[in-house]
Amino acid sequence: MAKDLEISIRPKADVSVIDVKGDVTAPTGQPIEDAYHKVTGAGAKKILFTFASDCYINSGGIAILIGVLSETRKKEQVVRMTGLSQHFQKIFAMVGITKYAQVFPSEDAALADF
Amino acid sequence: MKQTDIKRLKKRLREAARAQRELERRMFHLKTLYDASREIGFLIDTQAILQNLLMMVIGTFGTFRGVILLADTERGSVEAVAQRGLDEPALNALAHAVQSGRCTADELTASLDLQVWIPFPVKNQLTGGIGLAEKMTGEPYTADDLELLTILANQASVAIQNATAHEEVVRYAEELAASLKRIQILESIKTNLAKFVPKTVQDLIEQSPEAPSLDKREADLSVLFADITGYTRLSAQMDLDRVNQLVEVYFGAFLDEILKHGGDVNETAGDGLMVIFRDPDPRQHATAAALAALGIQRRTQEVNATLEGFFEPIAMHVGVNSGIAAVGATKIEGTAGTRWTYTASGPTTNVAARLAALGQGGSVVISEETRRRLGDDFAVEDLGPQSLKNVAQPVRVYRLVPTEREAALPARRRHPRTLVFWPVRLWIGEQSFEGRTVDASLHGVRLTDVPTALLEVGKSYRLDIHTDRHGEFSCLAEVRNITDGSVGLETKEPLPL
Repeated sequence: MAKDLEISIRPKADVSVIDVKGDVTAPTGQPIEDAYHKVTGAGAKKILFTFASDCYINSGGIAILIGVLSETRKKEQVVRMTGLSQHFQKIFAMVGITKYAQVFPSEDAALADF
Repeated sequence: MKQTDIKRLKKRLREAARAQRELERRMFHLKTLYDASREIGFLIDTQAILQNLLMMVIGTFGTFRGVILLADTERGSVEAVAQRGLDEPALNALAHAVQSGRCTADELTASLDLQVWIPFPVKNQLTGGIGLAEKMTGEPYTADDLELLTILANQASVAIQNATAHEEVVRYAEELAASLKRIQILESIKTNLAKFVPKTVQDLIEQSPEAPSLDKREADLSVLFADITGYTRLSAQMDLDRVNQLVEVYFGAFLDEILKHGGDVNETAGDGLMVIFRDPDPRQHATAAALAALGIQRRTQEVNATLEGFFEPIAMHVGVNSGIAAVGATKIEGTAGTRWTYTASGPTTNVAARLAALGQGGSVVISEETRRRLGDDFAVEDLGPQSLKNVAQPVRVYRLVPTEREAALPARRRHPRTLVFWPVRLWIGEQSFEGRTVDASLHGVRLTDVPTALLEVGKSYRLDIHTDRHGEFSCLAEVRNITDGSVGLETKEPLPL
């Protein structure tokens, strides 16, 4: 059964952390874009996406993230990701996302790398 | 372990890792196919299907830009129905390509800097195409990628066809609903107009709605005239609304008799009415007219008995004549405009009208011709030759004598009716309708202003009656008869009169 997508934003020093929980698909992914636009509007230059362990991301959801990365490229923002399972890390690498957003094993590790 | 063995092992490990990646990639593609069938297959909005398809292929192949176009080969039009990641120059290039009609796959891929272009059929002259830019990984699209893209496009094509079929079904359903609404309105108009249009004309219009045959033709028929004695006196005693209610009560009862015997009310004028009886058998329509005439007199007595103590009794003059008359439309031209009326005209009609005026109140006067056709089926009293106004020769006339059975009929009513005008709520299932009573007896009530078309004879309905003296009263009542605009019901419980 599909899980509702829950998004929250929290600042961590100069990094805007966007927490993602639930299923990320094309029809449900709009809140991720909204959260990105919100932090960008607030002047964020460093963004960290943290995915909950039970997060499910399908190809439509990956397209949402690709759309966000397309924007971050233009705005020269730095994006990191963490919390992804091994399976999704492989898929993100397969489709090329990891070329534009490095994936870290933990939030602390990701924050330390900015 | 030898150096060569280590090299071979490392090679095998690399091959295994590559195979593992390929396996994962294929599993991811399979998952995409599964998701596509689940998320696209059930959508019924073409735009949503195409938007989802584009998102899925972008996510599957990892590209920043993609577009889906629909081309109408018959109209020569192209529309970008979904796009992702196209910047301003790309959108301008697309718009230019669309406007100039240069929409071949090669031109599009060149102008939008796309790496793949997969066409897919949609429906009839409509074709689609999905284009993707280079992969984020920088790798080329493989034959497997193109195969998957084609499968996804075809899946979307099927979904679009289903959605289009669904849209058509919805459109047909809406058109059908609109047609039904129009029919309901027409039926409503017809029902209301039917109150003012003779049944004969209604039948003619139904047989030939475009051009009803209303030409005058000679026909053998019986004509009945009936008018109220003392109508002028009655009008002077009461206000107009009460007079109209009274006329409705009497004429409603008469209508039952007239329709029962196949008569067609042709004209009503305040206190009188003209009824035409037609039948291929000349004896039959004369008999029907005679029975209706006696029925009118009997019902007059019944209503008089019901209203006793409230109103002065009335008496009806009724005359019947049979013969040839010119039946059809008559044009009446006046300074204010033209009116068409459908009636029977000529001496047969004139004599019938005079016969009605000739008789005493409560009697039925018939012509010799009608008498001849009735044979011995009815008792008559010979009134001898009578001079009638505007009729050249004296006419022999007869008075129809009600049989013992006919005379005894009024006594059959067990409980006298009282004229009451109580507000009523009639329940049909979960719906209720407001109306009012016309009259009531101990176990019966007649209602008007309720939707009689929704009622069934023999079926029971709940009534909430607001009586004058005893307040609210609820009961179950069974429909006994339905006439034009009113319904008679029998109540199980006695009414608080």
